[in-house]
Amino acid sequence: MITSLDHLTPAARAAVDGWMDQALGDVDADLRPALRDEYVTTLCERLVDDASPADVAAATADLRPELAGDPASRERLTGTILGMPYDLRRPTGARLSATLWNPAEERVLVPRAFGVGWDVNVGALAVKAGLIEPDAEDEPFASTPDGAFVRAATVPAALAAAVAAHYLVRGRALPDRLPRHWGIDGRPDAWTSKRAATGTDLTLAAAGLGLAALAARSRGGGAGRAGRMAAASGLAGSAAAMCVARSSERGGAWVPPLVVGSILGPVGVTLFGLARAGRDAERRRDLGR
Amino acid sequence: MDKEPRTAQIRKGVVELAVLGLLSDGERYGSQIVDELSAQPALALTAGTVYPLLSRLLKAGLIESTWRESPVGPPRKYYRLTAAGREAHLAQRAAWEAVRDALDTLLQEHS
Repeated sequence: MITSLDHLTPAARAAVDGWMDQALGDVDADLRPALRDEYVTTLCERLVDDASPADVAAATADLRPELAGDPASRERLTGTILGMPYDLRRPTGARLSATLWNPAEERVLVPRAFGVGWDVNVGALAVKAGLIEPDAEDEPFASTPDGAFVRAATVPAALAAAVAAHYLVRGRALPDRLPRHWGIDGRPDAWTSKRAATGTDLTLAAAGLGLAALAARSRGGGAGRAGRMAAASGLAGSAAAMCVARSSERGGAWVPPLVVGSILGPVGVTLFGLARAGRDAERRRDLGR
Repeated sequence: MDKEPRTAQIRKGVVELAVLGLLSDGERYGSQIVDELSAQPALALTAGTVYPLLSRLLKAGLIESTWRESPVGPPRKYYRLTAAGREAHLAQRAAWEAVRDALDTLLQEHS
């Protein structure tokens, strides 16, 4: 590990610079400084001061895998489209949590961990709200105890249970046709059968519950585990939001914020709870209480 | 138009030394480091630069952190140099002084 690319040998530094030019060349100019900092951080963690150009190639291989292939395959997985960043690499829990929870980073909107556009950096929001310190944990979620992950699973579990209860209790009373899609004004503009809607929402809720159970039962890999738990909360939250939105035949302006809030809220609560647990564990270690 | 990015590049190279230099004088907590560095306008450092750097220095083993009780509020996380950090500080400081002296000489001779 090094703390600055300046510590590399001239040959390795030239290899990094060449790769960086290639990796940032197709990125929107506004995003380049932030992305460059991210790459610098990662490469500093992966390289040692006597690293060779071959080591640089190995260290950068998974950062922009498309750059290792033929030029025609570039820009398929990451880049910008209509000024919006996109990342279509296989999503990982670690990348998800690093994007959604980065309290050291001041920007609230950051390029999406997976998909097109921007994600909300809930960590930055929590810092701005005075709920946690930017350096609350040395490494996010690394000190979070197993018990906190089990407790965090109650968020997606409760949402999934609410979805199941909704269809169990109210299912028969719901009309045969339910909204499937809503316009920007929150009015339904496409419909589906009650059976299909029920199946979709229960599947989403079950996926969230299953992912939460896996994340709760696994061991180690704090950041990846936190990302999987956040994804579980987001899935269950989206199922709950769909249930509520489908309950109204007319919809309204409340639908879009409901959907966004129902995903972002549980994700934020989950990551915040896990980070606080990690910080508390660090404090107990150092303060003995 | 190019002036600001070039100045920023010069600053980028010395940010790490600035943090190591501060900590060589004794341990400090995060916002204290930010405040002391931001009091130097030429460095133009913000929390958004300092905290990620602290994280990198921690991972590199150049600094270590510990929570301590605060007399005026909740506990604070303090940072201090490790043995490797002290070595890095001395090495970087020597390199900086050599570059600074060389550049000063060059600029004076050709001004």
